[in-house]
Amino acid sequence: MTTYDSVLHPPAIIAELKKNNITHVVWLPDSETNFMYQLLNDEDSLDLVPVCREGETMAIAAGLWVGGKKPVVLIQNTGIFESGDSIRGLGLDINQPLVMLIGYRGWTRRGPTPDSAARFIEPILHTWGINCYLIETDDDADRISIACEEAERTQKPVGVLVGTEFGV
Amino acid sequence: MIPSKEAARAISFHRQDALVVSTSAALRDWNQVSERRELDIDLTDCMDRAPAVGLGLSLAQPERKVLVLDCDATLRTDLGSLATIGESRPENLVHFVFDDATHLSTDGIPVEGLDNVNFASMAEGAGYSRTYRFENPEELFIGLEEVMKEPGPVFVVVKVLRDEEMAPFPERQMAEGWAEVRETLLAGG
Repeated sequence: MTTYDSVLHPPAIIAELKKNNITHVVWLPDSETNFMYQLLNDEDSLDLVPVCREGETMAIAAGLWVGGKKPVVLIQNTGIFESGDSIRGLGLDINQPLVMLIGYRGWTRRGPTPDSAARFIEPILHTWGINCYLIETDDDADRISIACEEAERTQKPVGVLVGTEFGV
Repeated sequence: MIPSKEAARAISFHRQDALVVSTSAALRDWNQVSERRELDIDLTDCMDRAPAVGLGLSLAQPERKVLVLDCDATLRTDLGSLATIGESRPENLVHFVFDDATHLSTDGIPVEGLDNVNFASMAEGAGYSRTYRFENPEELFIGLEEVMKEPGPVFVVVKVLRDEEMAPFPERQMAEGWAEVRETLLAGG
């Protein structure tokens, strides 16, 4: 029987962001992503940009990218639904190579989930033609690099679904 | 009231090498007068996101002025952007709102009750450092000199009148224009 006792620690994510020369993390502070706040705040090479609604993250990232920076956004899957029009118009249509770190609320590998936010997120991303990667443990964190490379190569947004409990 | 194209001309005169993010009817006016299209970000789509795009640009280019040319009808659909800008407080950002007395940007249909909404008070409460309101062309032209020197984020309401025949949107596609601005900035322009 396979057991999954590994967890994802914020430093593994921060290390990936630094490795890929990410300059800004545009995010909506919430309970799903607050595990990273202190470390992000302490990291000199990364600037945090807080927003009031998730749809703004795509637009702020677009402005940062046009201005020569390399942002990522960090929001929950529910925020992706809220951001739909911005992902279309300011991600896909302007060819923004944006990596979206998406908190996978409701994710479970133990069968069907009752959470519609989890059930809909992958089909929605696929409908937009947005590829996505799942990370659950520190061993998966290097998929952020794969996503960054793919975003640059395709000049399109790429999703990274963060589907795990977090270690501290 | 200030003819909208005249307002755009006054801003263009004071612009120097500022980056300009414009949207909706303000973009139609700006497209007629801008002499630095390689520094203009157009929003012919996702028109409510001009303030957020301007915030990103101002954080990426802190040494450069960033002007957002917004409209009353677009700002009302993303009021949260005022608080988001107030939290980041970019000193180089000037957020103009063309307040359209003729409602031509909504095809002549007034947004019921919009006159009850005081955008300048909201911006002040959200943390903008200074707000201005201009209702005649001379005041605007003279006042812009101070606006451009003021540490931001600055919020400027411009009461405008529009010609009955609206100017067209730019022929340049959004993606094409954004790529041009990015290339200009990466080349140090």
